[in-house]
Amino acid sequence: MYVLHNKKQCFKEIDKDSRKEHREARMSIGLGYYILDSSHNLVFEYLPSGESPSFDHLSKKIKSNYSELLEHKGGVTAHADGYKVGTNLKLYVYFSVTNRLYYWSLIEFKQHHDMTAKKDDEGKGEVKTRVNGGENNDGMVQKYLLEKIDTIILEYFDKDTITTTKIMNNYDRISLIFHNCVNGGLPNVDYLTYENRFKDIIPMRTDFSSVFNSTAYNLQQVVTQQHLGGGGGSSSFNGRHDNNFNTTIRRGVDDDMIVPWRNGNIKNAKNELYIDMKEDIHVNFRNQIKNRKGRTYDNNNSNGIRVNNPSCMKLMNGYITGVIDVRSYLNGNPIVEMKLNTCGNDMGTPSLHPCVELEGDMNGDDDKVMDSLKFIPPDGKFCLARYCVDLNKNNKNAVGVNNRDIGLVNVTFENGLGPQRDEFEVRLNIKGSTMVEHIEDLKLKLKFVLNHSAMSCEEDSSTKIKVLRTSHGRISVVSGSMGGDEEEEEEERDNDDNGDGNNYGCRTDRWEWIFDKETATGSLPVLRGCIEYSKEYTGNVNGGSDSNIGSAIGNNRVDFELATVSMTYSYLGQLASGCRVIALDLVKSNVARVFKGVKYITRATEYTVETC
Amino acid sequence: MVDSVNPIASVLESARTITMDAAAVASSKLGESSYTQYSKKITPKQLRTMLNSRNTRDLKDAMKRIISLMASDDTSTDLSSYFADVVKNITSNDIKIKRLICIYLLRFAEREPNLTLLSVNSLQKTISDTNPEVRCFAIRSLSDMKIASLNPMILYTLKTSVTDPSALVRYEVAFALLKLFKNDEEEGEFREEISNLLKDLLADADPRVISGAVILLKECFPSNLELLHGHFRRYCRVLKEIDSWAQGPLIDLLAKYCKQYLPRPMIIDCSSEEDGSAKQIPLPDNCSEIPFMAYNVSYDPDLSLFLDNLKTLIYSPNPIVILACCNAYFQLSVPSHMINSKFPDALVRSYLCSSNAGLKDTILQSIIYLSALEPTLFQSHLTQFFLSPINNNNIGISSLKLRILSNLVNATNVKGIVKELQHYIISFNSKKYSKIIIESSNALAKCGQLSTKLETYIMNWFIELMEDECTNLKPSVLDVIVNIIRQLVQNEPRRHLAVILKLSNVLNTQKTALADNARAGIIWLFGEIAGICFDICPDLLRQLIPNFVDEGVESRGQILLFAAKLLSYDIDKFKESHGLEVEYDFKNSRISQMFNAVLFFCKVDDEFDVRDRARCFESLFNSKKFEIASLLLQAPKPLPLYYSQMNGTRPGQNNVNLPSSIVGLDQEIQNYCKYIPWTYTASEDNNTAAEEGREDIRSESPVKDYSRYKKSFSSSSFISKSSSSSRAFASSNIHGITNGIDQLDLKKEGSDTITLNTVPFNKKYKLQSLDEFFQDIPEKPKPRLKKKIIIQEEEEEEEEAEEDDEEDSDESGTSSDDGVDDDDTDDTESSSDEDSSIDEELHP
Repeated sequence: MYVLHNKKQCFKEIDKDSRKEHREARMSIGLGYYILDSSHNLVFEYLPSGESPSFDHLSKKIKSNYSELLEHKGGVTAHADGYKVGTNLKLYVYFSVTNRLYYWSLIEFKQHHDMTAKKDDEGKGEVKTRVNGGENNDGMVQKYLLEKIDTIILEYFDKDTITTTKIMNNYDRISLIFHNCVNGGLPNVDYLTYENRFKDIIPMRTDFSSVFNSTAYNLQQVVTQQHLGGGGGSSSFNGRHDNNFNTTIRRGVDDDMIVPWRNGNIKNAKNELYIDMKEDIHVNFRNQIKNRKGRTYDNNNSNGIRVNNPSCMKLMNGYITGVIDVRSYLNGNPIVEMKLNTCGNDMGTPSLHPCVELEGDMNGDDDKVMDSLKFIPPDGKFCLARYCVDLNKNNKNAVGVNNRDIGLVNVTFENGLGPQRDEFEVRLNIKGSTMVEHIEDLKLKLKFVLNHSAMSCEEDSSTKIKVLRTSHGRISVVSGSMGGDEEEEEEERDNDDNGDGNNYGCRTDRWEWIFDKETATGSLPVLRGCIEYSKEYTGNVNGGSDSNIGSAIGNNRVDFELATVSMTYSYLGQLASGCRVIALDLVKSNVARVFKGVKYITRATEYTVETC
Repeated sequence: MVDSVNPIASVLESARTITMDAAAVASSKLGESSYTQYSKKITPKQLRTMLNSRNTRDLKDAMKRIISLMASDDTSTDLSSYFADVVKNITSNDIKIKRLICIYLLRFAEREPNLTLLSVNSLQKTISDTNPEVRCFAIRSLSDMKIASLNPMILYTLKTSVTDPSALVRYEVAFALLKLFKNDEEEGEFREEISNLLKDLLADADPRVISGAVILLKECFPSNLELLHGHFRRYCRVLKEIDSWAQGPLIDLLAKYCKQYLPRPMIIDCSSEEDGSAKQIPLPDNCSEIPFMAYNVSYDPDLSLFLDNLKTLIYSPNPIVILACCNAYFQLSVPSHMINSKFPDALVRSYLCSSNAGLKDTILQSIIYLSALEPTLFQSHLTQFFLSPINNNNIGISSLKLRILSNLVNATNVKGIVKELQHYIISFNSKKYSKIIIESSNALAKCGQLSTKLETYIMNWFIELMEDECTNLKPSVLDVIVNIIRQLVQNEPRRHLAVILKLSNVLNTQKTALADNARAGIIWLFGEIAGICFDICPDLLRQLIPNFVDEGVESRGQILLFAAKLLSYDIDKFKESHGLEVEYDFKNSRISQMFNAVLFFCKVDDEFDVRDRARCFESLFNSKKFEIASLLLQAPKPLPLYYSQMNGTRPGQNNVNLPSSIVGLDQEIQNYCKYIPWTYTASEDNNTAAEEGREDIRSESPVKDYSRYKKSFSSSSFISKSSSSSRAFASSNIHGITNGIDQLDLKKEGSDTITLNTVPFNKKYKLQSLDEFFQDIPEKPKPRLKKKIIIQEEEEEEEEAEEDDEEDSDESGTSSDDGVDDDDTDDTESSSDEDSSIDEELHP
């Protein structure tokens, strides 16, 4: 050891001379990783260095500098720069929407001297200008790393969501996962892409009970499957447990592997393959009825049925994002071929799991890529593809999507109905479908705003929304006390805006029209309501009795009107884009029978109609 | 069949219940939650006993408990006090316990360096384990110890492991070197050796090892791009097989390399004459400077090799890769080619499909950056950046979208965008969203720059908005709007006289509704206009005076300033017309009277700031220092920073002054996307042309292919054999693999029909003696001969590892290795060995 020290010293001296020619380069090192629940309590921390601050320490610092970070309760935070918590320390935050967990990573930036091409410099006798640009984008790497770790944990446990208890019960495993994801403070490149390595390195629980459990379970599965013919792929159980009792390492990853993402010789008790296709609708329509000048109100039409006129709806922006998730529990090394009917949709440039084999010329037709996907599936759960259908420029001859009605549910609304023009009507059109029985969790948010023609109004108006008729569901107010009358609620003021003296333009009260858990397809729910102004309020503004209102158009008339309707729902059995799996084949598999299932889910996460 | 299974299942099921009950009672170790409960009951004293236990289960429980305490930030137990008890268990046979101990060591090793050294011996022994995963682990845990005195030993270990037959281990070596570099940063004593080892790793044939080596290169030696010379072409070809986390850094490095060592692409004019004398120029730094209507681009063959291979990554799920590809195209190509490459589409897709708010933010910022320099790239995605009326809780993202919109504005889409922006300003009118409104207003102002007509239209719209009481804009928003109007007016006041008059109307009619700061802003603006259009100002001041007391603080201050400015202008005007000697008539001048009236109010103002200013201006004029007054009051105001931002250099005009729209973006993104200048100069080019015979620097250097050591199918062999084209197998190959799979499944060892790998598989890794080895020779003499050398060297290494004292023998090992590799390339890379002739063809 003594000798070594000496040696070091002399190196030091040599180095001092040469240092001048070195240039600065930046290295970012992960100093700590934390998992927090949605109210910012620590669930897990992984501190790979003696210098890593504990969560306690860190959160104090955060509290003093970035208190807003801790205020988000389960919300989404975006701070591209990361939070600077020290001279060289930055904190990056990722919020996992599926798990409702925050992931924090604390990064230390170290400047180091980069040994540059000395020869070049000397040769020319001039110092090259430092090559700028193309520097590390650590922020992005860190943010993506946290997202990736989240999916790795999910895929490792083969769950759809991970709970805090699950994490707390598996501190050792999660620590090992982090240990393998981060190497020397940097993303451990080789381990991150293919999750199968984790199952090798960190064997699943293999004590007696789980072996016993799985055996019994598998047998049971076989029996029940034969009876029922299988369900929709809801099983989250991974039958692949090691059957050796001791948890020594299984075998080198090197061996028997034909592709890096799949271990060789996988033996699954069940031979199953499930495809989950999920689509999210994001559309924004403008209702152009209101925009027409010189609108006339038909007093007699208060109860008349109006025909939905979709031509008045203009698609402002819209896209469908789709995910194809696969759960594969197959024996050996099968090649799966999935044929997809894209219904003429332009799937853009999808992202594909590296296991997907692209046929033919790479520079060829992109649109055909999704038609047929061939892959050797990794074992367990993985995301095969993500795509995005841009509805604004979608192919006109797309079979599945008519740009005016995306998804099964259509919504239109109108203001200024009824004899006093204070009524509004929201109409839904839920199309019938042979594939979909019912719409789940249908919910509409109604947003009323003060009409701009209003001139001045008093505060504390007790304007009420009165429901005249609903065919389905119930109405409730989003914020504030949820108790009380279900059909009629006091309007609540947006507290944020108190004290400005500018309250009127910001009545962002949201009313919800909540449907039952399941709404049958093929129905036409209608909501008719009226906006009631309290006596003094109306009096103040209109300067007259209620009968005046009709003639008060364009004068000092105050009217709230329905400005935005946003809708969320989901249904099983069909995709918004109309895509379907035509065929799911196992090429050259020596397995006699494989259980295959395809599930389609459509969700409307961002479906809005607003007045122009 | 079903019937026969049924009873067994039920028996098992009931057996399970019984067992579970029994087990739960016995140890409560079934089920995770009950285990956790059990684990929590372990007292610190018990923990120590368990750590010293010989029972693996106890040991494991104890380690799990320690990890749990570490992970839950539980400070009740001082974990460092168990150091010795924990570390001595490193000799355990259970790999999981070892791994857990390593996690413990990561955190506590630095505190107890001497005790840590105890574990080193045991870990070093594991380096010669037969299982590559275990060898990986050993390297990993050794290199994780941040103890300076260990570094030379670690380096020595790495030197031997760098030729390990398993790619996993060599990959781990790359990371261990990285850590060594990091720990050794102060001294820099191993730098030389690390870079030598890096050279070996870069030459590796396995994409996995290349991935690790690339990270090492990028993190430690980012400027030593010359290391890539011999590998550039190979890396371009295998780009797709590299791990997706390393692809990003590799693309960055290669793009930088291209800028440094490859000539600029030539732009060939194909719009004018068709005869052979088409003009051609090198690609300018800014693509909008290309003078031709239509052009072709001719790339250096190496550059086009790189760009073509980037296209294979278009379906990558990793946004970092997509961004890196976008950036590479942006740096090296022309916009039309970039659009054709579809990477902008992919970038937008990765934005839309992601649920990661932080990532979305970063992607949007990079889109802002790219679109600011080249708006055409994202033109087709315009509507994707429209805001949705809901889900705007993430205001940051919304305002980024608005900035993109403002970048994408052009003559054809401006109408729609203006309409949309106006809609946002009206519909998002609440305090929470004021940032959105501000951004929308700014974007609107930018739209106005397209034409004078639009500018007037937008200004009028803003003024109407201010006049419209019920919109009730927030003060901060009004401030911005006034600022925008000010910028537009100040730029060319004469053109906007009508607007100015309207503004004076606003001041007069909206006496109370308009917020103080907005009024103050407008009054200030009139003070500035006085220099150009004096006539309207005195009347405005007259109208302001009667209501002076009702004005807000800021407005009062501004009225005073306005009055002072007018007086100063008036005096100057007077002097101009009457000559310098004539005294200005303070008594009879209307303006002076108005100024005095304002002064009178101000002197008794509540606000001392206003009082102070009043005194200041009063003394200024009383002491007759008019020159100073005009200097003070008539100084030409620079255009606000904001304006120069908007009006700034046209996209990409030069690289030093980036366009304004980039201002305020994350520094990291700016650094990342910054345009790298081409440093490969023409003179060098000429030189190359001159010395025709000179060796091509990018001639492929020998590849170190260790796959021959392997005794089985491996990922690398799978990929490397299955053609250089795409990620894996073309459809013809798929059958080949399937064959392979079948063979594998049927356990037909070493069958000749396997197309992918001629090496027999499923043999356990073990050392062969020379005699054993020679028995196999007749089959394939030449490669076997090479193998002989390798195995010999293997033996040497193994011995070294065990005996641990023959120091420099690995040098010879490496050299013999090199010799082998040269031969290897004959088989694997057909073109590489006799470079000079072939590469001349490749090089222009």
